[in-house]
Amino acid sequence: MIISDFFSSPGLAIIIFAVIVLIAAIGLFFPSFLFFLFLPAALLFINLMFCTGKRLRNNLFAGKKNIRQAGIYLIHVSIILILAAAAIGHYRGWSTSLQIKEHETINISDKIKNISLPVSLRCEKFSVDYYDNHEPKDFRARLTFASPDGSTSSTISVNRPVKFSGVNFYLADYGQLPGKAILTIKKNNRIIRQADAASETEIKAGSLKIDILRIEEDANGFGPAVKIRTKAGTKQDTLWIFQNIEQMQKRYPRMLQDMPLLNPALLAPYLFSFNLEKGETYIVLDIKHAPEVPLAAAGAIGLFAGILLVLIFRRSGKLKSHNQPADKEGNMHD
Amino acid sequence: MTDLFPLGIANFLYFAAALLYLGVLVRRKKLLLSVALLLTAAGFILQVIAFFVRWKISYQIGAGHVPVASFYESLLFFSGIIAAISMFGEIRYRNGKFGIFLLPIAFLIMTASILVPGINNSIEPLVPALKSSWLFFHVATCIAGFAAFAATFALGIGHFIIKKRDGNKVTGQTNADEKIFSQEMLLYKFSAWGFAFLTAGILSGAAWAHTAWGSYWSWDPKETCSFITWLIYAIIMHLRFTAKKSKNAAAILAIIGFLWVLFTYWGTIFLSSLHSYN
Repeated sequence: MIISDFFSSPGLAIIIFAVIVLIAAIGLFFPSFLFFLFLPAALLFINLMFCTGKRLRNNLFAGKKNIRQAGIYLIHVSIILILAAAAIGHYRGWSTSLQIKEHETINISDKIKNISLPVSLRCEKFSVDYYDNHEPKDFRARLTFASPDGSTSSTISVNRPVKFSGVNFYLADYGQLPGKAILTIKKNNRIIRQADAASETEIKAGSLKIDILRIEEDANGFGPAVKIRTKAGTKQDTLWIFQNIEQMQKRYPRMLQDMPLLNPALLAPYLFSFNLEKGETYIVLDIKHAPEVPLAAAGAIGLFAGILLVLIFRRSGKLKSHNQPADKEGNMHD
Repeated sequence: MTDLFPLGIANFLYFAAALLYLGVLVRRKKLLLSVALLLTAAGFILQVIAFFVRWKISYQIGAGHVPVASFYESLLFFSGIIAAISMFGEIRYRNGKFGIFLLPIAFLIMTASILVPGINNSIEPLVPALKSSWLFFHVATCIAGFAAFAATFALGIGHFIIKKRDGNKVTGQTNADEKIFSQEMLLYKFSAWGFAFLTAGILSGAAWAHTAWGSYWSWDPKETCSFITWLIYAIIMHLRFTAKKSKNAAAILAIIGFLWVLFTYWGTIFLSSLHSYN
């Protein structure tokens, strides 16, 4: 009885709450400290079980049947469910993420070790909508799932996950793989060298040695460009080779005279040109198996419903009864 | 018309009302309370107008969302709900402390949203993750909970003022007890409603996070701060069933709880969070 009173006491609940507050507050700055929450959480689980059992027993004997009491049970039982769901999620759930290119097909089990999920996945199409300020408005992908049980196609987007084979797929992110940055060097109008400036930093072409200094996807709003340093004997030059040089010349006819370092034919008979190819688009999928969700959802609904019951069916007359003092200790009787 | 025009007038009216309420502390006159309440009501109506104007502009420029999505918008919403609770408390319970303590808070929060450098007041389109029907419910319930906790803060301070002013008078002991009892009941009542709203906010946020990221709880700083707030008020709820000195403890916790709410609000600026607005 003493043990039961101890574990079911609201005083113990308050101490447990205070300990959880302390650990969570420390965990704000040292997240690994949150691990220690499992101790008060386990104690809270026991406290809730004893408290609910005691209340139920007392009320059954007292013949009490009211909705407010039911609300209090519901709150406590719901928190028990949520704690149980957290434990199930911790031990039985898993999550991972993978990257898949547009038009690529992968077998998930090949990509992710330790997870047996005989599902092949193909990203059929990926598209992005933009606002007027060029920020992404929405992005979505058309996926085809196939497993021994069958196949299906679905469109996935942020806030619209897809479920297949008991596993949820979330569209987390997207991006573009770097494309090839082709620097072409002609001599007397004949191509003498083509190189990927993204992977080669030193290029030889005829009597020229070329160092790749920088590649810009959009240099000052004029599009892709590469900055190179050329060496011919003891002579060194630094040039910017723009992909859109012809359009730039049309727009600014005196550009090459005013800024010779932008002239791709500055080192005639050599002529440079640059082409930054668009890289392949990829999406990032988060894959989650969360068997605890139905239990957690039941707990969440129960918790909120319980609180509403307690609030709506509260004891009447308390606020108006200014003449009804608390007892000598200032307690209010439930 | 932009939303800034009615908002500026509302801010001025809240300022005038806050001054009058503070004047009530010095000279207890019902007239002062009545005028302050009227100014608050006028300011609140203008703030509601500003809210809808901003909402309309948001659709006109293609952003298209309820104005609760940015830090600036949430602060304005917060100040508006606090003003609403101030008026409700004052009218429903004939308790001037609501206005005396809440209106200055509403005014300061609104002023901060307008004047603090770095708080962006432009209407921005939503990032894809925020484009969800959960947005308004989640933000509104959390902020309603926080605003109810502002009321408990006012009542907590009021508790100690009554105790200091009346508690020592031997002849007025019973009267003081009654006032403190009534004050305590209000504190529990507002704690309970705030707790209910915050629970709805946390649960809706968890449901949304599960849909968007597949994780209903990720110990993000804002989540952790809200969870701590929730626990502080859970302690207040449980104090009713225990302590001999629960009155003082509840009042102290109500004050600490609201200070923590303010940290929850601003804390994410200093801590990297998924909930960072700007």
